[in-house]
Amino acid sequence: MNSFDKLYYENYHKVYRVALKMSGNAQNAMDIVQEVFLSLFDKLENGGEIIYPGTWLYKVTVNKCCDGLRKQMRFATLDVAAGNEFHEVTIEKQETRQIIEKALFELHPRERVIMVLYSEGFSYKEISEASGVKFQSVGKTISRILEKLEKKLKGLNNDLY
Amino acid sequence: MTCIKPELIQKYIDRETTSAESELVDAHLKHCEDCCRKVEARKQFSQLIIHSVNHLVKDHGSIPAFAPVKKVSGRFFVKRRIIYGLSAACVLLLIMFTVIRTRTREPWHVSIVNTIGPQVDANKPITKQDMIINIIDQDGNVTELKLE
Ligand SMILES: [Zn+2]
Repeated sequence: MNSFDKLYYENYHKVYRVALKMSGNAQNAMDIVQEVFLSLFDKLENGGEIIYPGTWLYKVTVNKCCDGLRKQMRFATLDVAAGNEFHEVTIEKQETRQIIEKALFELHPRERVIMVLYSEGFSYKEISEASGVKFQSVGKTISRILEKLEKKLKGLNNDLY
Repeated sequence: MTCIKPELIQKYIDRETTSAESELVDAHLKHCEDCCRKVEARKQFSQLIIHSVNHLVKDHGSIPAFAPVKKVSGRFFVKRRIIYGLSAACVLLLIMFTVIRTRTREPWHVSIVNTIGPQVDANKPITKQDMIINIIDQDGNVTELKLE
């Protein structure tokens, strides 16, 4: 197995998770993943060196997702109501979840990226490297986005009832 | 002592505080119920959001084989449409031209041969390939239209 294949199989799911959380759609996520690894392939083909492939891949993924979302803000055709596989979830919980997902997709792409990386269990240092937000500002940024979401959710809840 | 800022609460629950900051927060929480509540609420809300974002990934699917060729997907849709549009316009013009000729003179026949260019670059998507449309009239004159 050459170095590209190794990177591809080791990182495919990690990249896919981020792309899917960003786009909310499996097909779009797969397209993004393909583009990301195509960039990696080109870079390695042209003799480019990547010291931290993991960081590099996340960075490229984040940028591609944000570019895509900026170009077409309607990019996210949410698969929210797709599955009935969660029988144990009560209707109320399902509704709450949909409200949260709606609020998440209303965030600015650059804000959503932070929440996606945060949900992946990244450290502030890793979030900073992948998103380009200054390390010292990560805590403040997360705090601010969570506050924004809290406000949004309260608003959406009021609209509902 | 003033209350803890939201930013520091966030760092505290994410275990990103320096040891000095942690000491400060711990000391404050010992005597401030208000901040204890804030920390607890933020912890729960952070978990709720993390859980919701993670719920977007229902399954991972299998890893497809990597093909080092750009896929023709929605992104190339526009370019593809332009090429289709141009092709359609060419054909339409030809038909109109033929109809006019038919009405005025004896029947006039043309053949249209539509091919991808001679140099097919396997690394390019189909929309980036050169396209050649050859129009051959009944006298054997060939008109070559090249779409790049
Ligand atoms: Zn306090």
